[in-house]
Amino acid sequence: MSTLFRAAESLSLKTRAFFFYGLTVLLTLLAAAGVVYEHGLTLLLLALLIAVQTAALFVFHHYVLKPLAHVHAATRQMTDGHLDILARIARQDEIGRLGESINDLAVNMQEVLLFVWNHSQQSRELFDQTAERLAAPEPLPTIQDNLKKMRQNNEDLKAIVLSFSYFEIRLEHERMLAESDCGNDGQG
Amino acid sequence: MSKRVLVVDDSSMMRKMIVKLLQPPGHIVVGQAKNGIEAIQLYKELKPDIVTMDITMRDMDGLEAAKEILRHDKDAHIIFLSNLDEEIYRAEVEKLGALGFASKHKAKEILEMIEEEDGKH
Repeated sequence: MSTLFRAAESLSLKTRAFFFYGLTVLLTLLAAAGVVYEHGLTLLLLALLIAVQTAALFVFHHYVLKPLAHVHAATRQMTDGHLDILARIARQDEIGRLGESINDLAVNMQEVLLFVWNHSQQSRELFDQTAERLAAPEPLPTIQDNLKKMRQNNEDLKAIVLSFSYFEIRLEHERMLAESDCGNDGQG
Repeated sequence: MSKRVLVVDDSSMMRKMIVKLLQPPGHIVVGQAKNGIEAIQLYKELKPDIVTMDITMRDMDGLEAAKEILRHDKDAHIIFLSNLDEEIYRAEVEKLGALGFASKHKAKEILEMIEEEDGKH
């Protein structure tokens, strides 16, 4: 029994929807047959139909509306900058997967921001070191070396930026270009 | 020599970057995991030569996963790759028995570590 219950818990929303649709159609047909043949079971079938519809509403509330509200709340928090909030649903259905994808977005965003933080930290150290070196009697080799490192840091940061694709923006030949002809008002 | 590598990182973008880094020198990425639990499971299944391991991950972090992997196979070669402060965490991962620690913004260092390890054999 408990395995059956667990299996029912892991059903996708699509399967649930089809299940209730099928049950409704079947009961409607049976009730219609009851009307045609004046069978006494018609009232009972109609009552069953209402029960199934009520159950469907409950399932819709429990498996769709509630988890959606949860994912929505978590997503709002993330757009406000709270990347520590999880949009996690402990289910493998469609909404669970949606929540997981939203989490992945937050994880990637965190990754980029931490990379930028490390990058600026390192650049600052190199700047400080260079400034210090300028006062020394033989500053050139260290400064050249530091400049090379800064340039490499810069390239690494650019590689991260280039691993995304952007809305309406193309990064090409060291320049940021609009994907379409922005000045044309979308006419040409 | 080319190595079979398991890439563990919770960020899909970072995994992509690591794969892009490993492939040109001829290494083969045999699997990718997004948390410690997946990493342990894939390690046991795939028996990779090298694991690149993130530290902060949801569900199970990299330090815990590395402990478990090393308990399972004491010769596992694990390289940590993290945004966390190198000075503080390098000692910790070395104590664990990991091969090394690279900062994510200097991810290329993992190539040198793999090569170095290869040279020992």
